[in-house]
Amino acid sequence: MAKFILKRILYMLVVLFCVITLTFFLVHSIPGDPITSMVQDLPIETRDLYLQKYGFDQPLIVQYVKFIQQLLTGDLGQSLRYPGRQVVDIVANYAPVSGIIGGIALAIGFAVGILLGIIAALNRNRWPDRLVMVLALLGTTIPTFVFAAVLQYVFTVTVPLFPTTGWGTWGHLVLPVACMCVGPLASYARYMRSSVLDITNQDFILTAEAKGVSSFRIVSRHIFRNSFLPCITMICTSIAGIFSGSFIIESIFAIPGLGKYFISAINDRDYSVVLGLNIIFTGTYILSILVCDILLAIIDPRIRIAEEN
Amino acid sequence: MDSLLTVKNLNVSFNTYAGEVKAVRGVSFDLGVKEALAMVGESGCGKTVTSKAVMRLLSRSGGIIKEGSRIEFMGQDILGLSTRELNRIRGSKMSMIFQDSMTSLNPTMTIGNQIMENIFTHEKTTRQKARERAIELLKLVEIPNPETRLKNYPHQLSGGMRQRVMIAIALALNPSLLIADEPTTALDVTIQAQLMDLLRSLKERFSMSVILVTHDLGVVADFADKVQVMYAGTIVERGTVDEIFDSPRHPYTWALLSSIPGRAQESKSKLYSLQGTPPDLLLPLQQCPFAPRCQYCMPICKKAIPKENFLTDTHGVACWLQHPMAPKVTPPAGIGGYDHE
Amino acid sequence: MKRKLSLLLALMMMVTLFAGCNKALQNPDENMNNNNDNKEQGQTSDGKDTNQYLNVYLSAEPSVLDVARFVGVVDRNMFFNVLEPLTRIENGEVVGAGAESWDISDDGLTYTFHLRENYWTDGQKVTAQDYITALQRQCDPNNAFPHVSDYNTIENFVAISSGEADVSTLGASAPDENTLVLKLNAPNVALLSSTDFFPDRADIAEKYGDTLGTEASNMMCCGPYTLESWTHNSQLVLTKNDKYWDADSFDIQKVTMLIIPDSNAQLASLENGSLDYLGVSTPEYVEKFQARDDMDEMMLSSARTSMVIFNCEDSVFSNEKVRQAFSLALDRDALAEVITNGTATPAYSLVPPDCQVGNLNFRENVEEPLTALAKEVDDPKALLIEGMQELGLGDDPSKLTVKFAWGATTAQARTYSELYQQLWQEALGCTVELEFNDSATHQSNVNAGNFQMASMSWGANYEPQFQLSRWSTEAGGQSRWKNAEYVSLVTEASQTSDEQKRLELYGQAEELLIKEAAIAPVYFMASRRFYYSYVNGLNANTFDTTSFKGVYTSGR
Repeated sequence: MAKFILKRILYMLVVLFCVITLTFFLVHSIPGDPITSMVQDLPIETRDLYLQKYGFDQPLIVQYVKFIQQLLTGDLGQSLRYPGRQVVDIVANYAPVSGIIGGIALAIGFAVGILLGIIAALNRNRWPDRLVMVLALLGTTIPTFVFAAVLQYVFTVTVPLFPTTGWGTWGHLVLPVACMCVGPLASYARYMRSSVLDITNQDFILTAEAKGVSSFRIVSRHIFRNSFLPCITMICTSIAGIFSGSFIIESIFAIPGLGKYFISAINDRDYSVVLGLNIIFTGTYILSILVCDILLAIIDPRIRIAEEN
Repeated sequence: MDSLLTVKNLNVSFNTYAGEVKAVRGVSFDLGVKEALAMVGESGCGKTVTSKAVMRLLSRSGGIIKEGSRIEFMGQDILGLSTRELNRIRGSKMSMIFQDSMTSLNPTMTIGNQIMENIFTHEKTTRQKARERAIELLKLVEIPNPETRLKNYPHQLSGGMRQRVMIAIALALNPSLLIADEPTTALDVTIQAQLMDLLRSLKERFSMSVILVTHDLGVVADFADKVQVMYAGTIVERGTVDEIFDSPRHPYTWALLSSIPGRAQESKSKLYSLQGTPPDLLLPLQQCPFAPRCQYCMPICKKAIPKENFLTDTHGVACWLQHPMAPKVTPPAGIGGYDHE
Repeated sequence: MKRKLSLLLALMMMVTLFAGCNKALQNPDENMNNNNDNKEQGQTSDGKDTNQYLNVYLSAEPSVLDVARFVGVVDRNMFFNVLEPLTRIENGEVVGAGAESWDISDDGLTYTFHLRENYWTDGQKVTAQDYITALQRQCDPNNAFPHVSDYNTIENFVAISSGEADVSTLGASAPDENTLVLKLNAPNVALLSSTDFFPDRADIAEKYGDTLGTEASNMMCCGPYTLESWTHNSQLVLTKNDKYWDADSFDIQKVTMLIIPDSNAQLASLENGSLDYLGVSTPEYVEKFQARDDMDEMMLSSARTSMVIFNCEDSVFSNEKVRQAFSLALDRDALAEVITNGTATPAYSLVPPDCQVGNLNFRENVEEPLTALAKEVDDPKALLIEGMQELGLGDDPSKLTVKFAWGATTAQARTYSELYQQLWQEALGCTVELEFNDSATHQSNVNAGNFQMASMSWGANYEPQFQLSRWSTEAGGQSRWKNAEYVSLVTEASQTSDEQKRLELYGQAEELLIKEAAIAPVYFMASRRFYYSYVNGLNANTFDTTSFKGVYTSGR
């Protein structure tokens, strides 16, 4: 088991390094630079001064080496668009915001989705099933921004129940989370439904019936456990996405999260922020995959035994 | 002798998009205590559906037991029981084992837990006691190292061992009736023999009645007391094992017997195979179901369903050839008079 | 055992999530519920509410509230709320603020400011040295101040900022703590109306270093308001500074500025009262708000000109007649109507009507140059043909293909630029190709001279100086239009103290720019603001920098 984890960590580091390097050169290849995108008609001298201060006048390779050196000391650099702000602080301040919304939305989407999926599967072709499937279809096809805009209007203007925009109280959480959980909810409902249907048709369910096992226990121990396993793989990849936030939702509800920050940084050509955030996102993603692999090995005996051998 | 199990006029249908498929049409039979009944026939003849109907395990596959059917087990009307009452009987008084042991066991539960699940469903007992019983059962079905095996998962066992585990589960509470649905079909020949030996000895030891569903007559000879030959959802011939093997009367039975490999060698003729395909079960039964494939088919066969005619108390044949006015037909060479040892 | 481990892990994750929730939701600012200020609302004798506060819209997150490093307009506007510049513009005129009075030497090179008594919020006095500190930090090359060019008339400012001179040579001195002397390297009559002089605290700057101005706690204020809290990318809260010298002129006690990026969210916020006023351009909403009894409307000029710039170094657009033809071919009424729903005014000149030359209004005194040109030229197409012939491109416009670059990639961008394309193609018979880029790339292309025609807009300052000087650089500005006469006109004007003479010089310069078609002006931008009727005193003067002076609510 230890060797398994160690090997994975090594792969993780290699991938991270490749991603960092690739992003660095890609970002610098976009036309435009941080200062011109901010100030109209900047005199050449001022522009040169500015670029000099941040080291952009150096050849790309030199910049790259310096970047890696800084990175190894834990310094992700300073924002260019927002002078004086360290990328590390930006992440520390904004990531939790995105994380909360994303985390709660994922948890709700997962839990409710799984539940709806089971209900749909157990009531196959009857009205609960059809209802869940229609909802799931709507959830997957309605674009987030449409849904968010509608929710925002209905619940803050027509029936003013929640604050329109902003962040800080539990009330501010409701609408953004509601918007964000729709997607995962729909996915998990459909996925769980087909997984349950698949499992239900398996022979060992019949064996359990033949043993006189109550239908409650059949669902809870036999059906659920086995159909739930594939969903865990799905949630693992979603967990990584929690911190990257949703640009659309954060813009519409004016939430100070990482998603909006990241996209704005790209538009502003804020190199250090783009790079820094990308490193964070990639790292989180890889880490969550690693954690999931470990978790899955623990939960699913077939994988665990195969790995042990 | 009082029957353990009585099945009268069993009709089972499946509602499909194409229409109503009548899988079992008016099947009736009895099973006594300590009796072993073999139900034989080709795929789709209705034998599995009949056996599942006895335990009312058809709901998942959408099978409907029609009005007018009657199943009595140990004096109880099975079809009238509530689900809770039924669950009390299932697994404890009557058990079933299935063909594919790999898919019939929960892949994420240990062997031990699956055995003990049966115990806990029906008895209040401690984990320790249940574990001991599980070990006992594994020993009973001749699985070595039972303590280790308890913690194993199904995929860690071979096919033959898994089937034994299934038997262990089924026997956990000393059922009076064991239904075995093609238990050896998925196993190779030597394992087959071992398993049938095991079943036989267990049957003796625990005085169980067994219904053995199979398409392989070779397995039947050494095991069953009675045989039922089914075709297209009906019983075409029934009798004691001697009657069926020594003096079969139905052309279908002849065909089945001819296709046993051992016989072909004896009569030095090619391996017999029956031409044609089983009938479409969507259509109502208005003639002898075997008529299209029968080489002895007469005009009457295509017009009316033959009634079951009893030659002895136990030997019944549903065939127009039994009619006094029908021509005498001799069975093909090598059929009948077979010495089963 | 392993199952218990995974359960424990899951539990831990949930606990951390919950703890994180609570922490992130604990806002240092308790005044989160802007809609439900629970204080009692009554009215004073003059009809004003007892509880004076405003919820306003802020267009973007401030980059950094440090006078030596800030990047944009949002930051600059914030300084007028929390700092006290030497002068402000009030009712379209330069008035004293931090400076009570000032003297200008005869040669126009020395300005002596007599400071008013004013204090920072920590009690320290605002001194002349503070204004010098600001300038010193702004020309410090280490700060890479983006707006260095705005201060190029201050002696040695630019030289210091490029590292060529020492900071001690800066043309600013403080004979005593209440007197500030600025030395210019050339007369600049528009100095006070076009350049901001804010004070800065050297000790605070040293204390916070790079993090100066990144948080509400990392700065010192001395203006009508203090920055009480700053939730990044969310909101800023200003509270009234009672120690401010002119505190009596300010009624609003608290201003909450909400940063809302999405336009639908902005409109919803106005509709349900989360915002007290907002600029609205969406036609459906304009109608909706016009129909409401509890809202009023005011038009605000943006003092900004939307235009098409021509690359005068391009092979095709180096020819003046070609440029003139493209400029004249535009139906400005149609463009203003379609693109801005009629809020903008068609422009036949560069300088918008808001600009003043001293006390004279520029536009009222100078005829729009393009109208005169339009009268001379009947058919732009014929003019184009002439130009093409001069270039040796033949006489068939249908064989001419040119590119028009737009600085946005939205669906609307496509519609708008297609209108331009249609107008040109119909009037001139040539082919116009469209190019779309995001604004950063667009700016970059324009600055690199990588375009033929490009859509652009420029805001104006109080005097025409700022706008006109965009083209008076050696390189000829973004149009790369090198005209020595223009440069000398603009430069001379900037040093002419006589208003009338200055006006004439600017007028001549603008005429050159427009008639030689370095640019094709299209319309003067404006916006429509809707405000709840309980808000009074909102300022419609474009250039005023009076913060919330004179604004109050009555009957909220």
